[in-house]
Amino acid sequence: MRTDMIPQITVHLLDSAQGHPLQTWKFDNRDSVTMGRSPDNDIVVTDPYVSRSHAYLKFDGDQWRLISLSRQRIFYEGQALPEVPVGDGTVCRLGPHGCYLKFDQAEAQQDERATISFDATLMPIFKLDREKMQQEVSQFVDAPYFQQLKDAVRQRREQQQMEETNR
Amino acid sequence: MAKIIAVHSFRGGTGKSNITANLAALVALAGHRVGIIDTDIQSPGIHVIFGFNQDNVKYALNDYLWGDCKIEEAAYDVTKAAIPEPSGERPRLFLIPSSVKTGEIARVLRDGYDVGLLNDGIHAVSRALSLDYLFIDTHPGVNEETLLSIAICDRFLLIMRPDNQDFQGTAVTVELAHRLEVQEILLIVNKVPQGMDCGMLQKQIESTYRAQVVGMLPLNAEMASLASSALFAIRYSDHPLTQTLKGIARRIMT
Repeated sequence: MRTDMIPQITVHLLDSAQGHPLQTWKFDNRDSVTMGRSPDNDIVVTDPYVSRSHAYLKFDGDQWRLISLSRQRIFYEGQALPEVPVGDGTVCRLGPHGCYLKFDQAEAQQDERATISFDATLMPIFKLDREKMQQEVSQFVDAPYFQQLKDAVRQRREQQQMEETNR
Repeated sequence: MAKIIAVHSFRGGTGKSNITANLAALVALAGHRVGIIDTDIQSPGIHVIFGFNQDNVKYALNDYLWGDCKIEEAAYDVTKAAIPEPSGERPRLFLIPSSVKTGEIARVLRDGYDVGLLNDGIHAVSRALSLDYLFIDTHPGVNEETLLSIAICDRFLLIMRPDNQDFQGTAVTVELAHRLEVQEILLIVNKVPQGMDCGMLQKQIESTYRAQVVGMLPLNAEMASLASSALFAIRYSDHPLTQTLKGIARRIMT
């Protein structure tokens, strides 16, 4: 079959708690799409409960099908299945505890932003204010209790070591 | 001598008590005598996870701190609530709860207590119950009691969520632990949102804190729905989350 005859398929990674798309992939002129944790997949998810090569999408000449490559299988409407026909709006889960995916075929719903929707909150970029941290640490370290505690613990450790040596 | 594991988080809501209860149960299940002491006197809660009813409790940690009982008299065997079909001396799981009576909580807030007595109690109960491990479920934030728990522990387990507030606050606690020359600082990142880059997160945390991340636990619907009503690792023994918790428990026992 000519690949330009194959309908476009769009895959959304959902936030399972809220059902919002976290990331979206759109595929044109392709008859198969792989997915899993391994970086060589077309759709790479970092979910630890998804297998390295978990499943692939295949256009069978009539419709798209999601086929499991993992023993964790595909969960659709609460059932563990080896294969699921994928229509517009189908939602599946990769394994019993993996991520949720939603599939779309209707091209009219896709727009330019659909190639990849990027959620910045998922990039773990945290900033540490070291000056503020040192100020806060000093508040505790400079207090008499901290020094007393440190001395007492050091003494206790030395005592323990002596006891163990004498045994 | 019991290994002391202090479990702490800078802020509330990190899942500290839940993780403590599950890890303690898994360590006990591996054939040990394990104690949990709830030093979160201002907002006690870990007893709920064991289905422990405080109505019939004669003594709690508070009574020991006021000099009204020996600490071992405030220890309760919760093995049956946590471990299916326990037998013999091991596994055994004991809980030293803090009082949920509002008068007792108010008294602590008003009068404070002798932190040194808590130190004595931790060692006394370990000896009296022949514990292999004692988990201290601490109060969030940093105060004298937290510093004591950090100072006397063999392993300091810090639980954080992947957000900026926890990142800054946890850094302060880790730095204090380094200065108290804690033997081992281990980090658990809990409630990691689906889709977050775990490898990048781990790298960033470990390089900033100079401490090892021993587990990353995803935001989990099942655990959230159980809330504090049961031990997740026992009820869902094959769940991937339980496998991660088992890995952390093994790390604690090495």
